[in-house]
Amino acid sequence: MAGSIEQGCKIAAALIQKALSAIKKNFLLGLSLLLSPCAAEIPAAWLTQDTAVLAATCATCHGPQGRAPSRDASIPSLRGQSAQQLAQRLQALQNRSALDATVMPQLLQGLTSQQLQALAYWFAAPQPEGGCCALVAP
Amino acid sequence: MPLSRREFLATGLAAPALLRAQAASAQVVIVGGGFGGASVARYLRAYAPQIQVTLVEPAERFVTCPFSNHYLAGLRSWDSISHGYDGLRAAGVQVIHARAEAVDVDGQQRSLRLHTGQRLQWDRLVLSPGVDMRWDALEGYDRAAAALAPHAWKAGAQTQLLRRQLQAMPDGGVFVMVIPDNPFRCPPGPYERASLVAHYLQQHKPRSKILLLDAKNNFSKKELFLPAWRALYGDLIEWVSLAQDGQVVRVDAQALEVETAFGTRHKAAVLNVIAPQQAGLIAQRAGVTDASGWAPVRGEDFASLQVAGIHVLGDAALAGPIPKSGFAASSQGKLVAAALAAQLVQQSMPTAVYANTCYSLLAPDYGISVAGMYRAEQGRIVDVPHTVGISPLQASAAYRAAEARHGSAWYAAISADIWGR
Repeated sequence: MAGSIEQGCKIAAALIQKALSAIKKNFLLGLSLLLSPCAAEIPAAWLTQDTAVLAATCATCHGPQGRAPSRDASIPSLRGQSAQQLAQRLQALQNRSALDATVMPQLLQGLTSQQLQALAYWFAAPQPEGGCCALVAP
Repeated sequence: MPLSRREFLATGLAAPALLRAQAASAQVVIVGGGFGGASVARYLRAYAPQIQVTLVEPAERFVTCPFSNHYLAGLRSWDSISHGYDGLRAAGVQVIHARAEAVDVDGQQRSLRLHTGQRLQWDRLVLSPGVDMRWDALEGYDRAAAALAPHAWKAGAQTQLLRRQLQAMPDGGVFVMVIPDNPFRCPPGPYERASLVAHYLQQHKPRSKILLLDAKNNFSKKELFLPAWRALYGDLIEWVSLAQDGQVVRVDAQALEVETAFGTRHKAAVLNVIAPQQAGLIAQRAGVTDASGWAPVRGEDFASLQVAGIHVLGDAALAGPIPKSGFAASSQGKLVAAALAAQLVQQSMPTAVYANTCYSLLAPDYGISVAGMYRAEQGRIVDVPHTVGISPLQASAAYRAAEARHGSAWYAAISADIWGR
């Protein structure tokens, strides 16, 4: 189980990074990368505004774009981790095996495993330019 | 779930130039620069930079109700709970410091009049005005009375007045708090205030007492507050429920006296009257409130059920089970921003999901929380199953200390997210 997620994350995260940076330079080229046969494995949820809306909810405690406003904040940054690390942490919180948790296990009961994965991709991806919370790269 | 080419194109993320042209003239005016309105402004600019966003807020610096109890108890500076609008301006929001006086909702003439006489045209109007006191709801408690017995339930001069009164109170005095029935802004707020005032009194005026006169028999996180008060403060705090004759029906602000439903009189050294509340005045004037004094809205996007083109969010809205909190208002604001971006540039609507977490501080290293997720269901808002609940009743001191730290981290994060500081 963990193995397949790891592999999927690695492939998808690399593709997304490539596509996003291309979109910044050239929208159509970036789009074509996202639409390439390999990118067909990217979960649909990642690309929809629904993930952006969910991710915006995370920012309320974890900071703008998931980046904690200070280094000693007790609620950690979501940025700066791989999709694999994030997905594992989210799963541990949801299945209540993270012993240091407080509110997150309860709040995550409402999300599907696809949504957790989509959030992991979202916060592992390079930060979009131009604003706190763009739905897609501008 | 893999994504086909057709599905991707159908998501509406393609061809931004075309959409930009369609929305070239879209104007969104937002009234209220608090947690709800400022969140709409910031996220709408990010989601749809082609939309013109104007924010109307009287205060040049917004003082938050969250963490104003910390200020009361001397645990926070005034500056640390005040936020300016430079961050929003830098994000491209036009910020106008004025009072909104009247809303014109005629189909062709959608406009908002400000106290300066200026008129703003809007394609969508967002009202996030917070609450106003119901000055007719409690005998003897009007604006003049509030200058003697502050509510301190809208952060500002009232909060500073209550702090001065608390500091001037003699040791051995009774701090009396009058607490309203539901619904009102920040359900756990009165009880956090009682806790932090107790912390202050314990350190500075240990012979004093706190008397809470409540119009309810139950309150948010009661099963956590009551035992914690006993453990932290002994018998310093006395809570009188509705059933124990806690409901105040008359206030004499000059004499600092209150009278309950059964005729018991209580004399205060400091009298804090948290009066019954309603949606902020501009919501009443816009015609979006119903007989309850609050604004009924559609759960999917907080569109008014009474006036087309207006969205009402935050404390002013009737949002089903979502508590009236700054966190919830911000969550609603972000969703409304995504919904407006979708509607004005003709994308598909986002799935409505809302979140809330309210931290309460009972002592500097003792925090508790209530949290939950909510979603829209055929116009209504409902709990997401298994997500709504409070901190564990039994927990280690380390757990309570962690939630106290998380409360501070939340405040820093949401302030940075909304105001940029």
